[in-house]
Amino acid sequence: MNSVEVVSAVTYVFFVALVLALFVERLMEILVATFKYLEWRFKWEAFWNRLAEALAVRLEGIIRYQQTVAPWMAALVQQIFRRFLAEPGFPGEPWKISAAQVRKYGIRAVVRLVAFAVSLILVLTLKLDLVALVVHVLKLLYPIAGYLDFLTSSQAIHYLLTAAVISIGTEPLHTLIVRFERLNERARQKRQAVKS
Amino acid sequence: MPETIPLAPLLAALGIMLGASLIVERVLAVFAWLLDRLFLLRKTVKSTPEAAFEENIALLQQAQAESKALEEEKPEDPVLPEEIPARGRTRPQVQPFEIADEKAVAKEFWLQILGFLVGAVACYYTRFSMWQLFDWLPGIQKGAPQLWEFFLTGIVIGAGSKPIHFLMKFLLERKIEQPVVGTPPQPSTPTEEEKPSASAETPQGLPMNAPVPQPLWKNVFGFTYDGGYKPERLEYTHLRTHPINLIVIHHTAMHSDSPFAAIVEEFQRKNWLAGYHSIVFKDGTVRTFTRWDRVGSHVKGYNYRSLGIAFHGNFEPDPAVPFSNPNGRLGILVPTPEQLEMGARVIALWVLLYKIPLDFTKHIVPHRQLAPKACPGSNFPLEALQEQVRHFVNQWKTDENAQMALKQFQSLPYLA
Repeated sequence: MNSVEVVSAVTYVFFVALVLALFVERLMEILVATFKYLEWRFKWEAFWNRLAEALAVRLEGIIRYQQTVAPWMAALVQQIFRRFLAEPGFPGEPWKISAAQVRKYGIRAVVRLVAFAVSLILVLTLKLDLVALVVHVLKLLYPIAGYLDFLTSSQAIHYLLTAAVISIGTEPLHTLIVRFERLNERARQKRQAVKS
Repeated sequence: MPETIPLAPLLAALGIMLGASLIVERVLAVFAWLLDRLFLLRKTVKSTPEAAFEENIALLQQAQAESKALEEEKPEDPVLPEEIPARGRTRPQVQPFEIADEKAVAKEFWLQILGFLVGAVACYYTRFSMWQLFDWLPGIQKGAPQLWEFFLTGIVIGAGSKPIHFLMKFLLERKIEQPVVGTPPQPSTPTEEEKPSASAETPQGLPMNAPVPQPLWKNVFGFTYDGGYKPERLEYTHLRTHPINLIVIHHTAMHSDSPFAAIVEEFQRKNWLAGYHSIVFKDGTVRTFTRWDRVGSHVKGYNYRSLGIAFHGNFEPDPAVPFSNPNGRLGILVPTPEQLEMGARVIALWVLLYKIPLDFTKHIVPHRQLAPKACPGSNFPLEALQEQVRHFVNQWKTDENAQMALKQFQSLPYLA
């Protein structure tokens, strides 16, 4: 394959990945809209409030006794705590765990998991392997890119990584493509400079 | 993988998807309009004159209660909100969640479902499947599309034309066929006739390179006033009910190099519509955040009768203080001379504009005097600022030009 054909193949595979990422994104939008509708119809708000209460008690317990846990664990708990904190408002107001924040992050976590599962099914159905493609092209650009061989050892890892890329949606994938192209362009310019 | 992947069939397939998605988009627009009418109709049918009256009374009572609470707000227990709660404090509280806009939830759901269904039907009748785009992948068997493929394609098409435009743009920006060999067209250089003449004149007859005349007040006070960040959003809220008799001095406690947008974002993150009235940056730039004729959100208990000025940066070096700036990790540790001068100008203007007494013990005070905070930081040269404020107030009081500028300034919008 000459370089044009390689670029052509890479573009096509990324295009397919973009279509799939778009599909997964749309599917998640529909699922989330459906969930929110059901939540409203069947009054599931109480679930988030209960979950927030349980979380508040749990976090408070850990924070109070944070001297007994490892520093990294304390830092992690503080991060989680701040994420779920309701807007603090003015000084003097007691801190509150926001059930809306708990719901937001809860839904986000479930959506990510479902998106990954759907992406994995699609990747396995279409046998789409972005990793092999990227490694192949990188090796063409940089013959010393042998350090990437560990990535080629397992096909399962390829599919998992491809599914992860597709499940994060179109925006990050698009960024990835743009960066990859910049890399390609820089390598081409270097080669031209060496030739001249 | 085949050696050549033709662009034309891919674009043709996307073209069909685009057509179908445009149909979906139009159908959804009509459906959204119908849904809005339906919600309005249901509301009208449900509400009787008595119910509407009661609803209005309840709203009025709620508004009165909110106004009363705003007037009575006082600083409370001096606990910094970002502090990790210590042993023995009160039990954690939960801010309950409730669905704010039920209509929006229902509308979103029905539009998604309808978009999906219309998309699937459009694909079925055009016999188009998204899977045709994958024909060039190795191991994919070409054949007549199955029923499930139409449903899956309907999911994508149901989003309207924007995603398909995105895909087409991706393909067209990156050529996947052999490029045509030849010299690329050189960018045309404008001829002498096309080049704009240096002596060109504006429609008003002024030379283009002539300095734009500045209003008098800008020359005197040294900064502009435009009502701040989206002033129209406060048109019907944060109205002032009390005369202004207090100026509160703050620091933003942020990195001094962060842009104005970062400060706005910080307040938006808290879901606050208002914030400081003016912010002075380290280069002396003054930006209005909250329009001055509205109540800001910068000091609890005193917002209703105060104006807030913030010096951008963090001037608290003590690492024991939460959100401090030890070792200058958040930029400058003391305000720059330009920053201090422009801040003094803003305060002096407020003193004259709103007839605030020039009293640095009760009427022009640092934030820390009103709340248990370090703001504006122990490094802040309060006395130097006070000195400059006095200077400008005394100068502008006696200067005729300044008095005229003040009158002009008062006629600006968002000041009434």
